[in-house]
Amino acid sequence: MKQTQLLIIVGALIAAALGIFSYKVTRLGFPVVPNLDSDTWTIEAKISFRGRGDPVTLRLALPNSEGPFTVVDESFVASGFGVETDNSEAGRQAIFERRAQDGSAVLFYSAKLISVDQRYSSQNRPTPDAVSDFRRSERRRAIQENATPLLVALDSVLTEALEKSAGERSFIAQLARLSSDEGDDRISTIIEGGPPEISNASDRLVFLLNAAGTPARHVQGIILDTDTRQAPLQTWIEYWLGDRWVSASGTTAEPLDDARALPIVYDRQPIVSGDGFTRLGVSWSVARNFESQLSRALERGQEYAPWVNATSLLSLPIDLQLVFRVLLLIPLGALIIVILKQVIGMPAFGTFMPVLIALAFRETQLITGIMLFVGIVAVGLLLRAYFNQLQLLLVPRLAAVLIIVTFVMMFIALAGEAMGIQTGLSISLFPLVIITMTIERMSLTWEEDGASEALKKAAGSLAGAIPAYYILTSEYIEHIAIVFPELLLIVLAGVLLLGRYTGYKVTEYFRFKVLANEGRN
Amino acid sequence: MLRLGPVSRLAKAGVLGINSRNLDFIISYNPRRLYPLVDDKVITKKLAIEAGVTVPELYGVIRYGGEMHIIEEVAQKHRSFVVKPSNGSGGGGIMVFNGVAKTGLRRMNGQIVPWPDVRYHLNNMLSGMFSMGDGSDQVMIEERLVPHSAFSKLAFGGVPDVRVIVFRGIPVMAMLRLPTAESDGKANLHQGGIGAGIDLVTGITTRGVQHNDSVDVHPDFETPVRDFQVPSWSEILELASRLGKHVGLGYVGVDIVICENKGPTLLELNARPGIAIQTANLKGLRPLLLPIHKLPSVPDDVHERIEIAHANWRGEPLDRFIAPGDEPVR
Repeated sequence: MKQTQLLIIVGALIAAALGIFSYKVTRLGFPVVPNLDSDTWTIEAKISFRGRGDPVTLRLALPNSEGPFTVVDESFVASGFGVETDNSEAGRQAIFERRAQDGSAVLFYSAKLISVDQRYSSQNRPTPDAVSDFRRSERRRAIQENATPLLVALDSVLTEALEKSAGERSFIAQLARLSSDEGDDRISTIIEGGPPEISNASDRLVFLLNAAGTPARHVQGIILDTDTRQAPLQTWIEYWLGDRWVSASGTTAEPLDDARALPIVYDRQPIVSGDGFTRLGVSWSVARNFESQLSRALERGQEYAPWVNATSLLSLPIDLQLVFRVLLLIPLGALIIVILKQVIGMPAFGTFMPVLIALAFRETQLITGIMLFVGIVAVGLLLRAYFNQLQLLLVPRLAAVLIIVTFVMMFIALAGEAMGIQTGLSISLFPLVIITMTIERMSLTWEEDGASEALKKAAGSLAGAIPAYYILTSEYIEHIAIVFPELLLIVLAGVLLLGRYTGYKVTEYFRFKVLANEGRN
Repeated sequence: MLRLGPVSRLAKAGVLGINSRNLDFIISYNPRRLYPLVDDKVITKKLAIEAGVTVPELYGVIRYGGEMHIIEEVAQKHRSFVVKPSNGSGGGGIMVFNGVAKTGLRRMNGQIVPWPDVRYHLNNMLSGMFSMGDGSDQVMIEERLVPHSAFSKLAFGGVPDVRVIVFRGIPVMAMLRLPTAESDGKANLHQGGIGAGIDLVTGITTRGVQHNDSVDVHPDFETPVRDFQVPSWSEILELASRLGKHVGLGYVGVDIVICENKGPTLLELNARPGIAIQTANLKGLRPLLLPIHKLPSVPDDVHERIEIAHANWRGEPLDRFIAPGDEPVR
């Protein structure tokens, strides 16, 4: 009866977990592994300069949300500077100002970019005007009035491209092909006779496209490719095709991946301008974000299944999410403990001590953690033995050990800092309490059952903490847990099943070996 | 069913694992509400007296730190006594004194424990350091049991006891636990005491184990630990069976000390008796427990129950003990 009930519950839990999981994966496209097909990015600009003691005004061009990316979570780090953002004709800018700046200064700007699929973008933007003094209608009239060599060459190139193409897209490709051939007389005529700012192939293409009536512009920006601290500024062009701007190579007019090309300034505007500074240095770093496909899945979820988003932990504020990133791993740690205790029979202090130790290790890294743990526990044991000689009562003695452990941790942190050892040691409240409890339990076992038993249990606790640590720090498992918390129902089902496990523990095979051998004879 | 080699060999030997003990016997047969009856040794003692079982005399109970003077009064009056935490487990915290000196109390090994150390130890007991659960405990001061002279060459520095596993009031398996120098006079097996399997019918030891290894002689006396007739065996079985039934726990370990003058005396009850007894007897518990589990009812008469226990130990079918009309439990 109990067995049937349990099996029904377990079956229901697994079915529910797998059902929600597969719906989220197959229908909404939630990523099963992190870092899959990423299209959200964090960019950071670092601007360094020297001031001369004069007032400084520094304008930094910023990416805007009108293009293929939505800019979110913008932040500035500019101590001592006033910062404001400005949306002018020339584009978005951040203006940093300071009354007097002497010596070097560093400003930071960072933003998160979410790639927006423009095909589904509902906004209808007005078609921009092509910017050219040589547009088709004027050109015809001008040629009739006064056939300058430039106009004739221009008209000839455009007409040839038009004749050889079937549509807008192939017209642009033909134009790019013609424009890049500098051996062509017509092109050299255009280079010589055209506006002075046409210095290279991509400028020429922009010029030709505008002359043909296709709005085009010159872009400076960053190609988001891999995580890098030194992302080069690149140039390319954009032309208006259909109802949107297409990013394309300046020489071949080959379209670029929209989700990768981040425009910052157009038409040769400066990235940084202003006055009052020298030795300007600007570097851009790019980092890919893990939740990319996730945010897309969430967008989709918003449309098809709002309940998924409403119940998703990803809708929580980021600091709460961070808490749950750890909390959601605790059930897995508990499962490990159940397996270690019920199936393997590992000796350990307390029930969940290994998981708690693993959680403490999560903050210190494994090797440092083990060394710290062993060191602090050893010191604590010595002190506790001394306190025992002083004949203190149980609770005050625990408190005294706790205080000493606090001091030991403090000294380790200070010593590490003084010797320049970056242990990555972030000691929080948690390890403190865990280590104190371990010391108390260990010293009790030591007194009552002897050193070997205490060391065996300590080793068991550590041995249990190591697999738990790997689970608690795995990026994949963390991702799965926060994106698919429903899978924890399977963990629950497993734990429930193990709750009715009446089989032998692994250690019992050794313990009763003599009986097993007897049974065979 | 798993058919792995060691799995089936353990199963074939009928070994009872901890998981199975907990699920199939303790959870099924021992209602949680009865645990305090055995966990609190003061209550156990009352219960045992009700059941007509001999118990060590209780000299006093210390409940609060302020009652420390009781220990001094008892010491003056009785000189020889035992202190133990009322809710203790695994023998933790127990101290045996057999004399009073000016500066303190004398332990069995002659060492004098100074009064401040005694008080400190008692305080630790009161704060629950050796106890199950959390929080506070009380300290019992009891008569020191003098073991039967038959054990003089078998027990080193402590009191040997007999552990009987009683299932539904029927003794199923027993072992003799002998303290050694290594176990510091304690009879607990995991601390290095010797466990000797006992033939349940005759009360004669069959073999001995220490730390899971087979031993034939006591390491401190070189006296053989097998083929030893445990004194007053039938009385021991009767005591265990009577109390096991009376306390209401289906699966219980009864620890009995055989005293020189008082005869078999109850030491304590255990609601979660360990499974090491199987190694001492070189016998799995499961084949002994299952026939009793299948009995539809258990007779109220203690002698009938012991008759069942004998038959069960010999491996005879228990069908003849099923009253007509009763269907065996599947």
